[in-house]
Amino acid sequence: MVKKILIVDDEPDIMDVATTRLKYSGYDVIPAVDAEEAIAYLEKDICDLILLDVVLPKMHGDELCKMLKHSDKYENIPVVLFTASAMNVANVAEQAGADDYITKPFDPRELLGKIKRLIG
Amino acid sequence: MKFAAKLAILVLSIVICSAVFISSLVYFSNVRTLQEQITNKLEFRAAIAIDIVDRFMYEREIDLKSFSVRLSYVLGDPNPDKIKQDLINYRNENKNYISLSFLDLDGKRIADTSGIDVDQRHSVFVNSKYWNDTVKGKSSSGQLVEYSYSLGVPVIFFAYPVYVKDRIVGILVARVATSKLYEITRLAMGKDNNAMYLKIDLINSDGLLIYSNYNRRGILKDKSGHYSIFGEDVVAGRCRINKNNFEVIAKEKGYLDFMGNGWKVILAVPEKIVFAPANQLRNRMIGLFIFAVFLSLIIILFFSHYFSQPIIKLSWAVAQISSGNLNIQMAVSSKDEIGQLAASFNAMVKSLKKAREELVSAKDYTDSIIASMVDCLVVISHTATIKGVNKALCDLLGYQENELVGQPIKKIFVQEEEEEEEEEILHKYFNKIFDEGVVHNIGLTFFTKQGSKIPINFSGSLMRHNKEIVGIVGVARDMRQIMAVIKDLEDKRNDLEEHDRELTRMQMAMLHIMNDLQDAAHIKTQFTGMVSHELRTPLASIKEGISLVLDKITGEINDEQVKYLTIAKNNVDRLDRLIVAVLDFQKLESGKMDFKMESNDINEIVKSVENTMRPLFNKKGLFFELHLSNNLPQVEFDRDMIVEVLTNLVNNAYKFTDSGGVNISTKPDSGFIKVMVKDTGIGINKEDISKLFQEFTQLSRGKGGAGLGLSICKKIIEAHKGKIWVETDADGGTAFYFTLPIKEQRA
Repeated sequence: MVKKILIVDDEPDIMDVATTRLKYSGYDVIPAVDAEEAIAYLEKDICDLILLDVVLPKMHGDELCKMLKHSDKYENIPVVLFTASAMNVANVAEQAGADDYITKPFDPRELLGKIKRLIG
Repeated sequence: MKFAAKLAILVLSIVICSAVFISSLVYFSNVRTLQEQITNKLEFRAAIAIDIVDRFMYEREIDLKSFSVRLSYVLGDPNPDKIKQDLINYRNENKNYISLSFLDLDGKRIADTSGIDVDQRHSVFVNSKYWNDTVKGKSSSGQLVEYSYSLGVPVIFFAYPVYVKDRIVGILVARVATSKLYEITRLAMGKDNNAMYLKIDLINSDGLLIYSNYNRRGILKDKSGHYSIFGEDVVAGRCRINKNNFEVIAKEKGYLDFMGNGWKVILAVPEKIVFAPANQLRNRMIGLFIFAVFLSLIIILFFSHYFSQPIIKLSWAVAQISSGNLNIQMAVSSKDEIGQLAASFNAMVKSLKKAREELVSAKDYTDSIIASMVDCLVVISHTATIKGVNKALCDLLGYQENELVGQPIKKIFVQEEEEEEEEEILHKYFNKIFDEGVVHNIGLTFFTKQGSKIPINFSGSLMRHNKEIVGIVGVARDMRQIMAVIKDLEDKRNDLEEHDRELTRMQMAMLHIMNDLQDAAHIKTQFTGMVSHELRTPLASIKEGISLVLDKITGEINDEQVKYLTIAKNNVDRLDRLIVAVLDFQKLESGKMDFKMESNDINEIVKSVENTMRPLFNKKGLFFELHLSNNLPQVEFDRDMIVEVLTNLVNNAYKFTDSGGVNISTKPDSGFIKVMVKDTGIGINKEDISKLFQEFTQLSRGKGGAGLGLSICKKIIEAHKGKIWVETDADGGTAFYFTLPIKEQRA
């Protein structure tokens, strides 16, 4: 069964190239531009992994991650933080309870490696 | 009274009291003993005496009875001459009788030993009852005692009837001198010394003296003087004391046929005779006591002198001490209480002396302190007069000490003239001292002898002695110099205040600038963060877009397309590294970098960098050598940071080395681990070395880059409290060194 990855990013270009890369690598990709959309999707459907941008309008990605990791329903969904910021990314990921993180610009091999490690 | 006299009186009293007591005891017991003795003796002797008298009387009766039958008349020859001869013969045989007579029944003398009154009637005898009784043949001896005028002595008559054939033919009369009775009673008295003082009375039943050894004239005339006290009811044989005499009376009891005439013997001894031995003893004792008192007086005088001498010495010594002489010692060697007292006294004197010396030296010490004081000292009495001053005060005011002592304080203390209530202010301060006990640092003014004024700083406190307030001790300091200094200081303070205001203005300006700068720094940090984020996001799209094409996900491309897309991708990566470097540097510089300090093995880090970098070196044909020490301890550092430093240094070596290679070594270096990265590259110009670790510096050998790598390395190593430096040979490559401190092992 094809694994579903929920990408949450407000940058359409990033969403575009990442979707292309992941689909090419055999994943099903669900796009969401902000936390609200992501939650709306998660309430009606499930996914195998969330690739979550940190700097988002309204609710930041790390906040959303923290919320999900505190809910019984979503705590088991692996979350990879995805950010262009170089400041203390590791700390933010740890505090938010994320399973991994990757900085932008990203190395496609590194991204796919991390996803593969988490969901196969 | 002197001690010796007291002692003498005491001892004398003891001697006299004991003497009086003992002698009284002896005297009275002696008297009692003597009394008992004499009583017993008198009673015994009186009994014996009367017994002897009885026997004597009985014997005379027997005498006459036996003689009466021997008379020649009785034998048949009534010749008076013959009878006379018989009588004389008999009297010669028996010395008891003075005379013997033979009377016919008419009472006419027939014969008489002395031949007196022959043929005459014996009127005295014949008229007596004794005669009548004798004629009737029932006589008893000694019934008649009469004075014999013919004999000239009192005599006792003994008469016995002369029987011829049971018929009385005449009466035999014998006379015994009453003194004979004394002789015989005298025998009963023994050879006692007191016997000669014995008064012996022999009295008849009427108390008339028959014989008295002391009242011969009273014989047959007087009654015994002693008899009256016994009276008729007296119990014979009991000794009594009467009128200073011991007296005893013994009654005739009779002997065999002799029934007695009721005679009595009275013995009397004067008390003074009886008690003479006791009195003699008493007198001797008095003599002895006088001697004893005299002797004790001498002894007392000697011993009281002996005993009182140390006390006199002591009292002399005490007098010496009270007059202030402490250089005395008592030379008493005895071990008694006096000796102990003397020893204690000497110890006391010693400690007194020591205490006085201490006091004197303490006084000298305080005197010299007071005299040497720089500040003025003044002692003020409660009546506001000066009691004492020190030298400093005299010198300051120009007085002699004796000019000030006893003067009112107004003489030296004044207040400013403009103060109208000057005296009251002065008094106010002194009252304050009396109320509160102390005042500190009040401003007053002294008057000098010359009339000038000296401002002073005055502090005073109450002086007490045995809890009584005796005055005020005050210390004053000449304030002229200090006033001058104060004035100078005030001037300077005014200047300083001006400067201060200036400074404050400048400080305010600086603060504004600093705020601006802080704002700028904050903006810079935010700006850098924002810039990096905003730069990197499009870079991500660019890079991934290129990657998608290069990875032929969007379809086949030719080699030339691959080549240029690769160039584009590499430059995107380079641009990203540059942005990251700028961010890192900014974080290190602002101190916002978080270090994860953990215990790490430096050799492992080196090997990990080797793993990453060796392929590059191999590709370029360069060697990559390691010389790692095996004895390195674990060191605390941030692994990622040190990896970055090493990577940076190795990268530099790679960039500037075309032949040869790189050599990395680790070794311990006195508390540090020293890491060396040495290449065989082009080296560094000496003038560049100082600029090497400055940020944004490109050296003359430049190969591009932001010029941040070594600056970042320096900041990381310094943040780890290590050092980083470079050594170079002009022709022989470059060696970078850095050290990391070995954390001290906990004991």
